[in-house]
Amino acid sequence: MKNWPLRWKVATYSASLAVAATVGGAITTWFVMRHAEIAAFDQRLTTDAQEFFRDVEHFEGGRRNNRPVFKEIFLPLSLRKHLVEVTDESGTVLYRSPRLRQPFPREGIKEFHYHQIDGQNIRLAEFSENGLTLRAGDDLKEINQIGRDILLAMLGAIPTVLLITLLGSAWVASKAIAPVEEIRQAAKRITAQRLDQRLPVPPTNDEIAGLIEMLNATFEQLERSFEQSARFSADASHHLKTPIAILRADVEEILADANCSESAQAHAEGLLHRIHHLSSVVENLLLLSRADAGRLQLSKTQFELEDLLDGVLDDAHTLAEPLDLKVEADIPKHLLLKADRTFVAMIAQNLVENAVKYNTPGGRIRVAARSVNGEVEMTVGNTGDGIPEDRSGQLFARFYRVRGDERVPGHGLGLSIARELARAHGGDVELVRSDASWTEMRVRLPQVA
Amino acid sequence: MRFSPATVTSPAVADWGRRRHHKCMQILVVEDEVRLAQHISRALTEAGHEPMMVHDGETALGEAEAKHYELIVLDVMLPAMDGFEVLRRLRTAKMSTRVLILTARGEVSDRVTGLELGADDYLAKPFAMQELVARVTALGRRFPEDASIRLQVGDLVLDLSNGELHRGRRRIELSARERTLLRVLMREPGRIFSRTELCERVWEREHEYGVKLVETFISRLRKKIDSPPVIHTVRHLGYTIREPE
Repeated sequence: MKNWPLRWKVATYSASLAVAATVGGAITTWFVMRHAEIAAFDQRLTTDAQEFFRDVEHFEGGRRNNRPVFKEIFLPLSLRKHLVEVTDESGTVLYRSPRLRQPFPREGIKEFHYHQIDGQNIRLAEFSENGLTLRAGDDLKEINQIGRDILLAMLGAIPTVLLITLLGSAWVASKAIAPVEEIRQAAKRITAQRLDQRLPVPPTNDEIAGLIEMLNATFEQLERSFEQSARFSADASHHLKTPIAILRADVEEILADANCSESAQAHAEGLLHRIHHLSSVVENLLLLSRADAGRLQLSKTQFELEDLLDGVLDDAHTLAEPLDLKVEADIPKHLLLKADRTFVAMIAQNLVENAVKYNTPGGRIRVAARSVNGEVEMTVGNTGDGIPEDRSGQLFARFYRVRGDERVPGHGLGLSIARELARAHGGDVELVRSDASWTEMRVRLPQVA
Repeated sequence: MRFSPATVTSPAVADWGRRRHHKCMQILVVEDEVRLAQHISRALTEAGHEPMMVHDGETALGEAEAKHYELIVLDVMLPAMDGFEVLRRLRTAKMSTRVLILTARGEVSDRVTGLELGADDYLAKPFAMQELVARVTALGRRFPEDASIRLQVGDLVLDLSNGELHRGRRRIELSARERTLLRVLMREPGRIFSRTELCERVWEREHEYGVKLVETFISRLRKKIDSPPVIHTVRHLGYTIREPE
């Protein structure tokens, strides 16, 4: 039920409540009505008894031996349909209802109580006057029947109650949460590209309006910070790359200047390459800043992974030769991938570069790829010292290098960029194994993103 | 810009800046960084063109309207009116002058915006000056060269459709990077590519062993195809490919 839509939850709750209320109502009604009916029964019987005694008293024939005379006719009709017994002072039965096959008890019936007679629960009482005793009672069949009917009628209404409350409250709930649904839809439209949009605030003063105002304030803050970071990366690009462009043109001019000494030119050649390095650091930082702002643009094309890895493996083989490394590749033919080719090449290049860089002479590199559940999974493994366990957590942190060894080139951005690029595609880069003998990184990319 | 024969160890590369007999163009250079604009102008002058420098969008528009330019080299990030706006106004005014956009941003969206607004080419900063000259030259041809599927230098023929390389009748097998490297060189025979520029062209991102790899691939290529030599080392400058004399 946790995963149900809100309106069905509300509907279910209200329907259960309605059913409980109906059952509770039925029981209460049954109880109250029965109580009232029994009180009325007691009252009726008492009145009938009094009427009987009055009739006996006022009988014109007077008394015989100073005792009232009993005649069956004195018994009111309404009394006769119940169970009745009349006795005189000596206990002689003057009248007994034909239905009554067993005598009424003689004791403990001064007031209305239930007694077991002939296997039936009989409510009875005794009235005495002028030497005559009238005992009357009934099994209350009628009253019980009415009670049962009421109970049945009310319980029989439960399915109807259930259906009406279920549908009704689902409808009410969907009316009530309609603004929430609107908020959800609108918030979905407001993405990094369209942060200038706001949710319409309803003219009411309820909780929903408060929520919308709060959301709008949050969007505003988001928009401001997105704008700032977007502007920063554009400004930083300009203010960093233009000076580098000038620097580069300066150095290229020295290189082209025939009057410069050879040592100056050798110097300039080195400078040119350092400028290249500098601009690639700038490029990487800007890439990360765009990724952070959620503004990394992917231009996706379809290509075969093997084609892309051809070059990367070519580098690996070339670099491996002088280091006596063995390069193994297990790349299936025609493994298609729809992604930003340049970015995927950057990821692959980075991982293979690391596999060469952190290897030991005479070691091994293995690059493998396969297709799993609509994803391309590429692993790059290498022999080497492995990454100490306490450092593997920081592996993807920016400017982090496992070994602060200056002889190993790099500036510690490669892995964090590889991960950001993979994530921008909906995939990831992870460390799957690292021990003294083998270190393996895995890239996952949706095959059709 | 001319390279002194003194620095050339392999047979002299003569007059490489003007190796093609392209016409002299009137070029408007719009770049707010004066120093960069000067570099560009100098390089274009060396290549035989007549550049004119301006440093903001307004002036650029006025200049473009006042005088006929065959090409505009246009920086995107300009004070007040940016390059895209200049380009938009140019195209609105029905001026079909060719435009080469320079941008620092290098984002896909920038390239797309530029091309959609009617730019003819796009170059990201920082660029190799020779790359800029080569792009300008390409844009200066009255009819753009077909993206040829066969590159040829002397008897060396690279078929781009299937990646096959022939030297005369001999078929030569190439590895992936060797092919990319050779393609870069063969697209512009005679032009000198620095190691740095080759690194930029061959790898998607900076390769930490780039220079080493370029040197290794060049020497492998030479072993495979150089008899007689076509790939020449120009000391401190880089490599070039030329027909054997």
